[in-house]
Amino acid sequence: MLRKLHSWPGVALSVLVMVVALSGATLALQPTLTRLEVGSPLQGVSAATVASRITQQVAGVELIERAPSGEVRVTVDAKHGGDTLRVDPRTGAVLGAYAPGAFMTWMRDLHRSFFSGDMGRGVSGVVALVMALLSLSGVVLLARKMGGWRKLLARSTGDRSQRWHSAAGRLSVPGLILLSVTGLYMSGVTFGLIDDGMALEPAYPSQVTQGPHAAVADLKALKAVDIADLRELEFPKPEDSNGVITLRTASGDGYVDQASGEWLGYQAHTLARQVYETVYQLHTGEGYWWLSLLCGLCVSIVPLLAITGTLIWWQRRTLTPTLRGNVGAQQADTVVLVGSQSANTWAFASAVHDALTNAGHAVHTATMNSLQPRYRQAKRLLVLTSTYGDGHAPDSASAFLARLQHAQLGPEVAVAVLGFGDSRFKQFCAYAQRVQDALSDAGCSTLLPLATVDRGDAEAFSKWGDDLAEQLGVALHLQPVRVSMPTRSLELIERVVYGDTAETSTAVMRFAPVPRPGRNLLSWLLRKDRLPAFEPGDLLGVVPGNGQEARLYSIATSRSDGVVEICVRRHVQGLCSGYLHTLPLGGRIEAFVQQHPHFRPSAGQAPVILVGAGTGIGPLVGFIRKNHRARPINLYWGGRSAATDFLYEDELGTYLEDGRLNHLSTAFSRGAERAYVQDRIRADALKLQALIQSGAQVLVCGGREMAESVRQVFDGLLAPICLNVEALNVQGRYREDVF
Amino acid sequence: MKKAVFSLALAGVAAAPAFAHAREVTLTSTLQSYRGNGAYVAIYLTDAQGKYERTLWVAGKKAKYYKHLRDWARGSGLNAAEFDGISGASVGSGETLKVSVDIADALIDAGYQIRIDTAVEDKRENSAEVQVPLTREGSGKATSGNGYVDSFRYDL
Repeated sequence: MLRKLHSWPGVALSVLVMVVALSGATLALQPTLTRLEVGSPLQGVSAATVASRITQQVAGVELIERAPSGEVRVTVDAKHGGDTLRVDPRTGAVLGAYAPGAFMTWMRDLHRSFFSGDMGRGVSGVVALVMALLSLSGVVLLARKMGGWRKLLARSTGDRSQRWHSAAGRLSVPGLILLSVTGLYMSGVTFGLIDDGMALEPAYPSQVTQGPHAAVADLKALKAVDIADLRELEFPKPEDSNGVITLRTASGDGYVDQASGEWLGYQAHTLARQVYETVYQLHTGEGYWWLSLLCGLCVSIVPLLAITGTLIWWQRRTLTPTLRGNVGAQQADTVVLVGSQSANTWAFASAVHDALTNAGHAVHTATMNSLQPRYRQAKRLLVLTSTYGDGHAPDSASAFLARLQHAQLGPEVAVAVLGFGDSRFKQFCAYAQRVQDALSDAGCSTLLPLATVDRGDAEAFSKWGDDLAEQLGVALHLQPVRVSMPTRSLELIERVVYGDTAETSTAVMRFAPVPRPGRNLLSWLLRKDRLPAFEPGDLLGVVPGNGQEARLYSIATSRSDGVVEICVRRHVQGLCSGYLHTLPLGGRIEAFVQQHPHFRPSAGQAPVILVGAGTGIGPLVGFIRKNHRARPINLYWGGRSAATDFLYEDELGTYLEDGRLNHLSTAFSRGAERAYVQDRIRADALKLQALIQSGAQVLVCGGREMAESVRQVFDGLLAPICLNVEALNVQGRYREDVF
Repeated sequence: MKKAVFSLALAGVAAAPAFAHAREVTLTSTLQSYRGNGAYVAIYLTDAQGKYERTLWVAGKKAKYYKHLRDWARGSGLNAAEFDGISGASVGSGETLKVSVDIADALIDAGYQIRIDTAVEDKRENSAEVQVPLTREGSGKATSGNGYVDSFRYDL
């Protein structure tokens, strides 16, 4: 709900919000420009002294004004030209004509009214309201996503748009809240909804003291006012013998007798007026050049927020299916929560939702992150979740466990957890298991024991559906789910084949996007004919044929390289590897990118230990290619034969020379020195201990058996320094990509 | 229906004495072309010494900006009763403001003046930029102000 409240107005009004933000950012420069021109404001001198200096130098002074910036302006009477001049309060000398810049005036009118009078002001007010709501809801959503208020500033997760959106939001939100709330207040004043205290004027004096006029420097009331508190000083016309001086100060306004120099009526500013002036200065930054610079910086980030926010909204829209008859969280008897990284789990959840709804249940389906503190009517809770990386929560479940701690779910809620995953990974459905445990700990009763669906296995899913139907005592008709990702066409442009026999060869393959005919701006914006964003270590899902299940390959390049590079070993009965190995140059495949951000070098300059075997070298070479800052990288790689299987041999030699690779250790299982990569690691135990003690990160890519052996070797060499792989894994310093 | 007509007639009778020696005067003010927002304009009557007599028209909807019409603001004391029902929208650059007001015959050719104060946001404020005697002879003659008013005339 809150997410909708955040995304819909944000997307709908993004253009207006950007116009107001960018014009505001431009206006925010004004206080600094004025400051550079005016210097630091004069204070500690009485207004009488300054006014006296000015009247001595300028003839026909009618009005002296002091702006919050410290700028002093003088208007002379019509006989002397009626102009407004800027003067130096320190000397009274004229600095030049006062003329607000046409550009800034134009910007201001755009900013506050879109050049459309009161209607435009109303629109600006709505923009301020929307901005305030976006800022506040954004902070709450971010806290939710990060798993609590204390983690608000922790490193954010998600794809590129989400990371940029969180980072930009955190940076700008203090300024945005300040500006939007003050802007909203000012809009309220404009439309008379808030009293600004301006209407209260001092009563015009009915009597004045007769006698010669005192010199300006001797006016008692004026002498008591510091120049910093002066707002306006208006002299009566010389021919008006009964005229009085109007004096407006920071604390109140009144009239001053020309003969006695005393106040004749004074009206102190009300609280409403003081609030208004403070708010006005906070919003415009008038007199606070540093504040306006900071706020200007905050709002100049708004376009980035608007664009990334719209992208996130679009991605989510295309990922999340529209659910038919989704009831509110508090009206549902059955709650379905979905933890997914891609569209797959949603497709299953959607089938469950439809089947239960058709069976007459009131079903509420939402992401796991939208777990509510309580569900008033719910009798059962179904959790469908995938597992991300090494047992982590998928994106839409990142805050689930933290939220569960504050939720009040009792035994009246019966729970069934269904895990989705790939059993070839060691941590198969590990997150689903954690969720199951946490729900049991929370006191929920069990509707069904934890079940798993391996690689979209339709039978396992339908069996779970049957079990569920039996428990509920209704017939459920689960629609079969076809797991498919939106794919795009890639063209094979290069293939380098290693290995001595055709049956066991390995190929390094490079693919380029297929340019679409009729390319236009829209397709470019929707990235239809460009590569999606990816980094080395992400996965390329290749669909070998119609209706076939996709096979994932680690990517060795990033989008900026313009090509997708993967290493494919031909398996004897491998459907997809055979398909790729026989694909002709120029042949096309249907593929998608799946992000895998847990498997990549962490930020910083700490050493990296890369361990790979066979085609596992692909992403590792990718990491080395991008190591332009020459952080120490040690590569341990094992292959079959030095003569025929040494993937990337020349390229690695280049990297050793230019410093992108610090150390290379290879092991070949065939030939004179038969050895495996774990032998090399064991031999370097002391060196690796030292590296890990200095903060090194280990990334392992290859087959499952090899990864298991490597883990054992590392556990052995870490024991003397009181560490193990598990401890490093928790710190994010030991990561595996296993196939 | 009859009742309504009757009460209107009554009101007419009651109001009649006040207008017995008054006439409708048309005030036409055309502003120059300038860059900026709509001008606030106060048209008012003073005696020969410039002492405020009564307000004829105020253009500009937000009363909080009225203090920038400085002479008029002082004279009227910004007392809402002084401009109740005789105010309207501000006047944009190059636009013409034409209003009809009732002025007592006794004030014509009696030394009274029509004065105009103008103000534009962030721009010059002009007190008494137009200052013309209210006479039968002056009727229909255009004068220009020394601020935003390009021409002003009144027609008796």
